[in-house]
Amino acid sequence: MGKKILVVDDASVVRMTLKQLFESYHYTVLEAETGEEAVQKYQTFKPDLVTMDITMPDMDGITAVKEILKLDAKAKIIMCSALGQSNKVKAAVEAGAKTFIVKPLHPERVLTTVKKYLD
Amino acid sequence: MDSQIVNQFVRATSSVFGQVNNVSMLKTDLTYFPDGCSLPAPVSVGLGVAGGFKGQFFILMDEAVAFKAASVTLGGKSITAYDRLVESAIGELSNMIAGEASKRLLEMGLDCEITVPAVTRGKEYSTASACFVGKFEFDWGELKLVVKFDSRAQIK
Repeated sequence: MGKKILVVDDASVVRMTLKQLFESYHYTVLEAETGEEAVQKYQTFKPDLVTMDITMPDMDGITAVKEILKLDAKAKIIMCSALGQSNKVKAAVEAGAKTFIVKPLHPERVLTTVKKYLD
Repeated sequence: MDSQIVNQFVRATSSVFGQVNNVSMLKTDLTYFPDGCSLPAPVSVGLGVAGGFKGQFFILMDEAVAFKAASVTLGGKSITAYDRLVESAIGELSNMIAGEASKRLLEMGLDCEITVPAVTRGKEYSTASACFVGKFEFDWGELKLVVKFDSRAQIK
């Protein structure tokens, strides 16, 4: 079975695009629409990697990163957000995210980054 | 300061449309309305801004422009009907504009938080608050950008 990726984004179009991209490379994908849903699904799905948006309803992505790392200190989380200002990148990395990709998302860059942390 | 803030949204709109959609936009007008304005808005996306600048910004467009933006996001898929995927695509596009604008605002010393986008269809955009309206023309048609200040005291 392929490695598992949890895609977290409130925009269905982003979830759909990333799901199609990852599935075409034989990864198993599960989606979450909010930070809260991501934390719940992390516990049951136990993904090998998470892609996380920042601005979402309910729980934002940076809080979700902290909550997931409380459950699994070895969780691999990549931020994928339109908020590329330096203080957001710093906050995400300080929260424990492995790296930060600023939207618009380029498939090649996303794949290279995902493979770097999965392989 | 006010014009510098508005210009960050104008530049962000042009930059993101260029990067994502590969289209070149021409800003044809930027007008200040001290007592608000009403504009036709077949499709509008609104985002709130808090922090160093408090207000909202809206992107107004025709359905045809929304369809084309959604089509590009979906890898060239033909879009013939307005649905939740179209809403999600233009919401995400506006989110990227907000992200680019907030990055530029931070470089000016204004740390801002942006809310999730709210997409509305088939209504007129109307506000009684002071706002700036920018107009862009490009191959796909026309797009309007409204930057609204919560307090007129911010406008200097």
